[in-house]
Amino acid sequence: MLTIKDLTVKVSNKTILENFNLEIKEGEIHALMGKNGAGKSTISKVLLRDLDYTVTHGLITYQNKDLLKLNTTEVAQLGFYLVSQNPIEIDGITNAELIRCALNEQGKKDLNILELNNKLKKYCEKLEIPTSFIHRNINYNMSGGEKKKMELLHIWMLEPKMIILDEIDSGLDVDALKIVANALLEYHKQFKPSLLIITHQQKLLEILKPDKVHILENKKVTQTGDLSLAKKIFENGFSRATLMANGEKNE
Amino acid sequence: MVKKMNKLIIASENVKIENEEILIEEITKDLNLYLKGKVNCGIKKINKNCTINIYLEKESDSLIEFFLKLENNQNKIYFHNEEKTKLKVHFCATFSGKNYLEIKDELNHSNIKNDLKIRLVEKEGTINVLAVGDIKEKTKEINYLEDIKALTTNNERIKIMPDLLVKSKEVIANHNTTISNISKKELFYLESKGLSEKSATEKIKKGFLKGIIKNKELGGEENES
Repeated sequence: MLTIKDLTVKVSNKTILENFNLEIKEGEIHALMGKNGAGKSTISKVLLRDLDYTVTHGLITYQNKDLLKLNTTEVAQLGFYLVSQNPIEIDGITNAELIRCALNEQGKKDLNILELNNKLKKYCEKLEIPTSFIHRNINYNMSGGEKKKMELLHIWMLEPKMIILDEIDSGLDVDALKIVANALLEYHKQFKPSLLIITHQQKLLEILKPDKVHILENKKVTQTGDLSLAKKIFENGFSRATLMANGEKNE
Repeated sequence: MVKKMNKLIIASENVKIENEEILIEEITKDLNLYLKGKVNCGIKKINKNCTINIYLEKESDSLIEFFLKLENNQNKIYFHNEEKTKLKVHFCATFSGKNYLEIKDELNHSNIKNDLKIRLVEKEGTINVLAVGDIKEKTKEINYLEDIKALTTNNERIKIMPDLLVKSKEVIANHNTTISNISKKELFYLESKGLSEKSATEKIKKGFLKGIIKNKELGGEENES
């Protein structure tokens, strides 16, 4: 289980999150929604221990381990995987090389090249990615949609247990979004990871059907509900949905 | 069928290569290299103090790729172009110890397209680079690019002196030099996939060099679709 308790995060001395609380049980799918600039991406970077984001207060534990005592590599090896909004391009390192190296560092040295290639080809087909992309440099000269699909390929290969998707749907056309969402759903059925989805899109949530939806406002989670809460946001916007929620509470 | 590349150790002063793909394992002393036709040449090792003069014959189209480990090297590499030549140079090297590298491209004729890329990665050493593009008067239709990038952990260890001399008017000539540290974003990306800092750093350094190399025998990606 992932527990985030009373978290305060600063970037360049500016407080981005304050009294932020969140709990995700194993296998659960959670969605985090909020206006642009609310700090949604911040939480994904904090979880992966990006040291540009300073935690000044609070706790993050995962499977009884203090995440704040670990570095990025250790968090990733614990099973965390972040798909960021704009996956970067890295010249001179192929996807195959990255996956092979990451598997080695996970201790999965028993996978031989032939098995690895077969697995890569199988997942490329599933994600409708040309197999030649395996030997392309990381995200190099790829469209937004292709980059997101490649990240999913990495997920299938590395088998993470806690996946954070930071606007994975941005830059995807309708067909690509369906492929990505269905591949995530299939992965979830097979491996039962926890998912934290940061999104503005209804379609993705309709397919993945999160167990809980959280609204991030004023630096913290102010509302938690089920998919109907996301629907309210899509219909009425954040401000109106918040007013309605406050109205319900007063009643 | 896999085409095998000829491999050579060159110890003579004058060598001519014509329409061939070739891998030079080592250049042991000063060399005059004459290239004719379409030549693809990879070079893995050069003598610490050697000077290499590369002469491009008329209408030649050459790709020359260096993938070197410089250790206390003092090297000079000069290119001499005839008319209607195309030249791509990918010079990649790690360096340790004290190094000096002088690369001079002399363009004295017309209709020339030269693309010179230099990538350097520091491994506990210093390097002074003098890169000269000398485009003479009365030349026409010259397209010249000089792109130098160096990766370091300490910027003081690298000095790059670009010297682009353009004396002709009908020329497109560009020079670009960057000296930078390992990108924090790239490091974070690789670490977030589970690579250790050491392993991620090594991958980035290697990738920085490999990124421009085409020749598979030098670690490049040629022929991989």
